[in-house]
Amino acid sequence: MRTIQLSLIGTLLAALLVAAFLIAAVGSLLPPTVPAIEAGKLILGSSHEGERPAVLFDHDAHTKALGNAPCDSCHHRDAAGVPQVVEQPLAEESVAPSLAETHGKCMTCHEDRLSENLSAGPTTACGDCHSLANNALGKDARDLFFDRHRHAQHEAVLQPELGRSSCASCHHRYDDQRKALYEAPGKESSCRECHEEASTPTVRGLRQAVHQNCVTCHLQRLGLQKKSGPVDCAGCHSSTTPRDWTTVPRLLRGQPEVATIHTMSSAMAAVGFNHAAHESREGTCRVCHHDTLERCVVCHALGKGRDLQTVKLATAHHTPRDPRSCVGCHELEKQEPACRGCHDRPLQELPTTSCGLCHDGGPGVTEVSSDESAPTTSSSRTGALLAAFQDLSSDALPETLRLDLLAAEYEPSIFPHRKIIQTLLQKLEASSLAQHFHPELATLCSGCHHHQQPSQALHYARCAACHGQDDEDRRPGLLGALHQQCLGCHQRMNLGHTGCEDCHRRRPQQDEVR
Amino acid sequence: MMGLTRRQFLGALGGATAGLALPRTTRAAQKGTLGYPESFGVLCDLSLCVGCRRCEQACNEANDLPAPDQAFDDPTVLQHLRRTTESAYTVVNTYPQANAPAVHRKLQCNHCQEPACASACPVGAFTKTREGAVIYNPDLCIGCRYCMVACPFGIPAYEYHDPLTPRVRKCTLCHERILAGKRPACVEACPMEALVFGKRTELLERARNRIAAKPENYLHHVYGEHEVGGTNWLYLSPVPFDQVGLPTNLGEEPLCAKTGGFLSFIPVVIALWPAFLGGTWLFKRHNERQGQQPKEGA
Repeated sequence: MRTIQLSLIGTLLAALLVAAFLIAAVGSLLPPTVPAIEAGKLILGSSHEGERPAVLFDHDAHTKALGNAPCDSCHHRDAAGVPQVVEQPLAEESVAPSLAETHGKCMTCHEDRLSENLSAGPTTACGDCHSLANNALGKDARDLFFDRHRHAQHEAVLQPELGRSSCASCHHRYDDQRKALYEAPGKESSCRECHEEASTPTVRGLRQAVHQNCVTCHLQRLGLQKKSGPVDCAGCHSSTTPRDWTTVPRLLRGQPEVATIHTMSSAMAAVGFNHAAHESREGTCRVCHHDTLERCVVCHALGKGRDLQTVKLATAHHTPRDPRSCVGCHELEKQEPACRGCHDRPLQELPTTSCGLCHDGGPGVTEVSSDESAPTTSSSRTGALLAAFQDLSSDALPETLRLDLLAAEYEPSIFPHRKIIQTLLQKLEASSLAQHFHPELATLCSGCHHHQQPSQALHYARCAACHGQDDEDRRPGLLGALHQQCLGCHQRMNLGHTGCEDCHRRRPQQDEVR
Repeated sequence: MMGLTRRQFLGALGGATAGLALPRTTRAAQKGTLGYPESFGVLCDLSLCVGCRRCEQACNEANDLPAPDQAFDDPTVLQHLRRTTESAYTVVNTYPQANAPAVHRKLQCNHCQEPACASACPVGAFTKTREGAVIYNPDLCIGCRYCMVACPFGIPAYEYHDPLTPRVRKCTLCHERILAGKRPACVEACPMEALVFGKRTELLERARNRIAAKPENYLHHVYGEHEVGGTNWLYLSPVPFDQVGLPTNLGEEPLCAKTGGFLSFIPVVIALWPAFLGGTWLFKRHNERQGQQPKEGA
């Protein structure tokens, strides 16, 4: 008996030990949290990976420490005297420098500075530089967003100095025949139209091109004591805060105020696309235009569907899940809490009733063609809705509704029917998109009065007409319908007031019983 | 040491028998012969539940349970996870989700089609009724609480406070009310209609219809359709079921099938083993006597 007891205790102890080891092992296998790489720091890959991890190189700290002319300490200059910035900055040729070369450059400098009693980097232990564990390589979140605000900043400095030709400071085209850059006023485009990710023999890669152009120009202007931009990494690669783009000047390049988008079918009218209104919503043209600033139809052929090369125009504009398509971008806008009350789920298919809201025949047909007409139209729209709302008698639109389904426990809930519509109208006023797509009061009403065609006469059935005492398949009973509708909307629109007593007060005698 | 060997022997014997019995049970499960086809159930749509706890209150009233420590309209109760007790056959828990609104879930007996509590009960105090409820008879109960160990959802609770006639307590699916043609009290009380009462087969169809109508709203799985051989309480959820405290590792086989083969062999062993041993003894004695006879005769 004793031996059995002892062996039992032994087994238990062994099991505990094994469990502890297992927990420790699993803990060490879990991925460590990946730190985001701050602006101003670069990851220098280690050519001897396996032995030593990569280096997290603090570029800005080096720039600061090296004083007035920091670039040449590390960067090579190409034949034209421009410092190599991105690809193999340390090497003369476009081949990777040897281990001895990179280490020689870094370590010589560190040691020199140390001997001169200047601030210096590590000189002895390898791990002081090679400190970035491979699995800790975070996503390089330093994408620079050269938006309309930044563009306007450059314009504000360069235009007074150079006039119209200031655009050519950055924008240019390449002549294949002459093998030279030339100015092309009015044809300005995104850098990405020509500069792709990787360099080609004739065209520099995007990173190379923008770093050389921007940093060189900033440095030159600094040298000339002119107003200049940042020369450290963080100066440009800092996250931009969202701003009100309507206050940022437009980028004018001869684009129409209202563009006409033609359709292939004669049954569907052309779209009068208010280009100016859409510009004021976004920070960059690339939100809709991809790499070029061409019209959509230049790449997206007229028609529907897609073939091997292209997505056809109608599909490109109507794909709900693609935020670059018209419908997809509007879908994104509808994620706003103000819209989520009614628009509670992603668009399943295009509604066939609202085509005419975009396909209005084009600028010749609609009056939205001059600069100031756009705002007046939308405000007059809300005005018309408000007028229609106020004209409704209390017979057609009851001020309040009395709901007393839970009369045994709660006092009746007073549903502020008219106030709710008023609130929706206020929210509508804040969004030009919403105004455009809710041209009639009936469109708003159909948010709650679902499964009923929006009617001009605004005659709607009461909830109890469809929702009975008990639930039926796919159709909740009246109690469920009201709670699902009211609470669902309050939750999705972040309106609060989702507690029981926010709508109906508990009857006092019930409190005594409980 | 002797005892150990016998146990090993019996274990091996039982294992072999269970191995023989198992394939039969699995085939039966695949044919869908589990449970009563006309039984009732409840579909619980977690995407609709708002955690108002009216179901708890209704359950409390319908079963004449003692008043709770904290009032039913006190939302602070939801701040920690609770389990069912002998005075609360159902409780609502809130499960916070990362980057999504919290999901509430009502806990109660799931009324398995092949209830493990009933199969574990040595005296048959649990009955799976034709209407779907798993009900308990306190007159038969001997208080062994095997049912509490057997339940994969940890539902049955025990009246530990009662020294004389303690009972196992759990949701009855309001069996009496169902027999009277009414819906369970909690279902009737739910203002969001997150709970729907009906024939289990119809509820399954409705659950699938809801998923098809709003595929982005739901995990495409009806919990309880197959879990532990199917339960009469079915769940739809916007998030994975293990994130709302429902075990997802139970398998689709009724839990009683895992032990049924072995347990059903025990009576056979009890009946046959003495006979076999007795026979061996008789045979041996007979042989010994036969061996002795010539000696006596000589």
